[in-house]
Amino acid sequence: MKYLTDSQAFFGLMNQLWMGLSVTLPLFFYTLIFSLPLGVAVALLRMSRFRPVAFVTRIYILVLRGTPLILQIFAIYFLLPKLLGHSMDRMFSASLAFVLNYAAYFAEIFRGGLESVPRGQREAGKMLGMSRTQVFFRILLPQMAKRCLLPVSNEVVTLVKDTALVTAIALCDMYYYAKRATSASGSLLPLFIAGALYLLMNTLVEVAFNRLNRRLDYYRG
Amino acid sequence: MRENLLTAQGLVKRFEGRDVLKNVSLTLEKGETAAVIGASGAGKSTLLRCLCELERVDEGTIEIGGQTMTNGGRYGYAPEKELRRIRRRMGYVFQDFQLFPHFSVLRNVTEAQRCVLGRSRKEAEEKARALLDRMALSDKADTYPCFLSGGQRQRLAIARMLAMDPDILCFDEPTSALDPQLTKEVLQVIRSLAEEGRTMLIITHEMAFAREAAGRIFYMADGRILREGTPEDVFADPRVRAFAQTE
Ligand SMILES: Nc1ncnc2c1ncn2[C@@H]1O[C@H](COP(=O)(O)OP(=O)(O)O)[C@@H](O)[C@H]1O
Ligand SMILES: [Mg+2]
Repeated sequence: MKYLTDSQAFFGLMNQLWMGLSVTLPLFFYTLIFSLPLGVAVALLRMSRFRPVAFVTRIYILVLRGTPLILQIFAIYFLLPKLLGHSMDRMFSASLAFVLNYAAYFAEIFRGGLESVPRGQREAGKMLGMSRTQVFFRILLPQMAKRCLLPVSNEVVTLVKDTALVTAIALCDMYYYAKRATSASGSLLPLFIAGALYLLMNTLVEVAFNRLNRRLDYYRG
Repeated sequence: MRENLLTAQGLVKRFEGRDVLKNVSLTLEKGETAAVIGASGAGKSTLLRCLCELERVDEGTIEIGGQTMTNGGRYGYAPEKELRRIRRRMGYVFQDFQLFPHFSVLRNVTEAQRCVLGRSRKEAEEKARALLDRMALSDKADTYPCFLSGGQRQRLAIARMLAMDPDILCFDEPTSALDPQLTKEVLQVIRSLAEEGRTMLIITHEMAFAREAAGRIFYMADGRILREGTPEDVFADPRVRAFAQTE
């Protein structure tokens, strides 16, 4: 009850959650910014006609989608410094784990999107003299983006919630502060407020994707 | 002096161990309109696709305008850079149009001009507008392909191809996705190209059109060119007549 009666405690809590957001939000944006292009690259490697490359990429995707993200966060945080011989920033290791993990999911979505663009589109570009790179960036990628919008939005919504996992390596994100306040006070309110804030973020995500969807709605097919 | 724009010899193409082209040879002279006819599954599309390097032959040689595409089957192909240059001399119209759905009608025609030929926006748009005008699509320039009728789509595909100034125009059943009225529109356009003296290779099921618009006919069956010659000669062949009656 403390947070409802004691306004100072309440504002203190809000201040902490706000500090937590300064971890949660950058983690979210780093992951998005880097894992989307990396996902495209991984999708292309997965579709490579050079078998060993396709195979290694397939293993990468299998492992990253097939094991818990939280284990991957631990693995990168504890094992990578041992391999590299120096310690790593928590935020950096957490972001790296997220980027690698989400790139694997995005890659599979993008691969599906690319394969669903008719083969004739590539051939049409080729017969107009375009190089493979031109065909990819001008013809295939824009059409893939439209086809992938919905599954990508699903992943992004999940990403907002997954950021809470970094609490496990003692990164002070929003969930970390909420949980700590709840343990200290016995009140569930901090967790509720954090939940509402995650929901708010995902509402914004949904609005953004709706807009994007409408902007890509100028053509069919 | 007659000039061969395209020479293909001894083409063999296998799919999964099955010979789809069995030793096909043909030449195409500059300025002639040739039609390829034959039952479905005869290998017509495969032949055309091989000539444009959309498929690679297993045996045989292909030469386009004096440049060698392959000097001997699958392993004789020129390097990609050169193939791109050779392919640029070919225009291809697909049965199912394959327009770029995410580009406006105008941009469908300007995109490759700009990124392949390096033309300026102004130059590319002027050329595109002239072609759209010719294809009776000027009022559609700013819309998107999904809002066009089938006949308009195919005319747009033709404009897109012509914008690249190809030497050889290839059509793979350009009207088979269209109803009779729209077919007439598109055939009219192709006929006008023939009259301009363009070099064309057209796969078609429109026997009347082939007979009247083509200077030369290739009749294909079972992976071979069984008969080639003027429309009179070819349609006099009893095998061709039997086939034409089923069309
Ligand atoms: N990519 C492919 N893979 C396997 N078989 C093919 C492929 N393309 C064509 N074929 C086969 O080759 C034969 C000739 O096909 P095609 O050239 O399309 O004939 P047409 O255009 O005369 O109808 C058909 O039996 C077809 O099934
Ligand atoms: Mg065919």
